[in-house]
Amino acid sequence: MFLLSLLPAFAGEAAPSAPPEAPPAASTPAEPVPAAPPPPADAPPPPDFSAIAAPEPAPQQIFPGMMNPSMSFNGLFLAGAQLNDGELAAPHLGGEAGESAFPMAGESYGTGLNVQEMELQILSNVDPYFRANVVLAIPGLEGIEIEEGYVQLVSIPATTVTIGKVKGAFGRENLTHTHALLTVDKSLVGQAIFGGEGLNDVAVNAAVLLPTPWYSEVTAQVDRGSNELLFNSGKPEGFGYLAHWKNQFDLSYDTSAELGVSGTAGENDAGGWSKVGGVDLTLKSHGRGRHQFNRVIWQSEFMFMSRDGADARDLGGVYSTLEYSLDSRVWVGARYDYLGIAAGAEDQAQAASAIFVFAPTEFSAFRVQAQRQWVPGGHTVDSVVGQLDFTIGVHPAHSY
Amino acid sequence: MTLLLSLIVASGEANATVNIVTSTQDLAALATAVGGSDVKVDYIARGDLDPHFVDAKPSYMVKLAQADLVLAVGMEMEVGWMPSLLTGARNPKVAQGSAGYLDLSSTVKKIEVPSGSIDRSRGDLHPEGNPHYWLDPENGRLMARAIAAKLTALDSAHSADYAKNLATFESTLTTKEAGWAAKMAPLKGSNVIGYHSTFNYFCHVYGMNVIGFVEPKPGIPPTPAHTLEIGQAGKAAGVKWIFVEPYKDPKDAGPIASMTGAKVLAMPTSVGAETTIKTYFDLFDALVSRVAG
Ligand SMILES: [Zn+2]
Repeated sequence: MFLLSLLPAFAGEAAPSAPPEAPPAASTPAEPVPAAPPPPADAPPPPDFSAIAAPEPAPQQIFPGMMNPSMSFNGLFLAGAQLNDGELAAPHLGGEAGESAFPMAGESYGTGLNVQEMELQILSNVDPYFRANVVLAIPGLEGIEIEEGYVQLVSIPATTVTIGKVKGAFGRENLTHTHALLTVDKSLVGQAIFGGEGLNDVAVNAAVLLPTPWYSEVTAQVDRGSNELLFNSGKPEGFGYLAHWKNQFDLSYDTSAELGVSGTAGENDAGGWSKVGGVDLTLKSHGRGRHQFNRVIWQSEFMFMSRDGADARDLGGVYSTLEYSLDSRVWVGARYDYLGIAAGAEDQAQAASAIFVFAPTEFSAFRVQAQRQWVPGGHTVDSVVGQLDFTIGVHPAHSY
Repeated sequence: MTLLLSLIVASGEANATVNIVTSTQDLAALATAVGGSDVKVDYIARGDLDPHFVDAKPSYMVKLAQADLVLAVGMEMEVGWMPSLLTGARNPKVAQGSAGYLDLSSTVKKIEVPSGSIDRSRGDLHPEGNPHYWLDPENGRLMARAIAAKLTALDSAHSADYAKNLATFESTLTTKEAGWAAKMAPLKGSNVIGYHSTFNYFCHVYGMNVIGFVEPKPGIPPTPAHTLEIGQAGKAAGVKWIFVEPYKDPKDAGPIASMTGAKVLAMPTSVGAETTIKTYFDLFDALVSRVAG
């Protein structure tokens, strides 16, 4: 909490901030530019304190257009067909989480046409200290919800403090927007533990980049603990707690590995505590020169939930995706899901999915997914889903 | 509080040299030429890769987190990756708009700046004009001057070194330019086809005409109809070469080559595109010798 205690102090000192530094005279630069104040790094220690008290007055401009926030709109349309061999609950197409063929198997996609999601993202700097991001989502054409809405303190070195409704930094899948997933749906284990919308709550978190030679980031979060499947104690002090340690190493310029460890815990609605731990491992590689777009990505996550209280139970699972890009526009992939580690037969499920993606540009993509789910009772659910994805507005950031 | 302060003090120490991170290897070569021994230079996009499409790898955030100065091409060349890298770097010193961030497009002579309305139906790449401006050696001069000015502002203690390095760079460039111009003179008026508009600055400088592109629109792969159209136009114009970037497939230019009789030439686009191209001068030496022998 020492970061929060810093807030009033720096807000008070910020008012008499230095006048904006003139940009260098680029057209006549052969002559030395009028001596600017030495950079904070060259000043005697503590050199960067001034950077906290009075950061560079120019805002961190993410995209052109200083006064208008950057906006983008993303839509996902679905068309699907489903074949079931048994007596299953009525399948749906792209609706809310939980309305699945069986309660723990996650979403499946029925026959028909639907809108999976419409999303409006608004991103801007608030002032030199804060950045704000709002994502309004219309899931399945019904209602509008604030999928994310937060401000971030971005003016202190090495640390980002986020306040608002955010996706929890648990593993990789939970942080990924639906349209950026390899697959049409989320993993069985992710949906079974966190629900279709994932771990997404009103929170305060700090993400610190550690001073290591590789990328190492620690995130600590306190949230409302309102996830319905996991926490939801109903008590005002029933917080959820989350920690995430993300590491990324370059094995060579073209090949990298990412290893993450995550944990979250909070009081549940059955008088006990729910705890979830996870490990994620991702390997990525691409070629040189004209093979730049021939990429292989292998991503796996293991998650384990332990719940005590009146309905105590354990549930673990794993998913693994493999993706290969033939060129910048075409890629193929597969996912395997296993759910039911340390669980009873009623929680056992597996799924195998094959995915083909054609992305004409970075702004549009067409995806086909064929999936078989093996659900309890010896049933299988087969589905084929097509998804059309479009983005308008500011250029999307390349996710990694 | 104490923890945070000690962390900041630690990160601010040992900065006798200016730590520069550039988006491309061309900018790194220029920064090395101007900064000399007073700077430490690292880059993000290796020269054999398409700089429009770079992974926003977290390890690059680590480089940017330790940087005193970031050099970027600008003109939306890095729009897909630099903003997220800078956000992840958590280094207010080099945030876009701050003194430690230099967008070099503000200093150069640009071509193909669109007038009228721009829309992504025209392809998704060059909304602010052609960003491959480092392939005009005079722009290299302007960029080197801007880097020297920025280094002088950030590190005035070494301003004499920067002025001296810049003068050396400029005089070598002037000599080199005369040699390149002499070799390229007979090619003035030649017609060529590009894959993408990467070599438009280079052709513009030496009076070669780019009559069309293998790709129908920036960032859009070739289509049969466009290939036929450009092949016919190329044949009529007597096209000499089809220039292909190291990150494009020369096979895509094959049909046009056989229609026109033009030669497909793999051309380096950046320092580092080939292992022998280590400096900004090496890049033009390679380009000039490839077309003019
Ligand atoms: Zn381009």
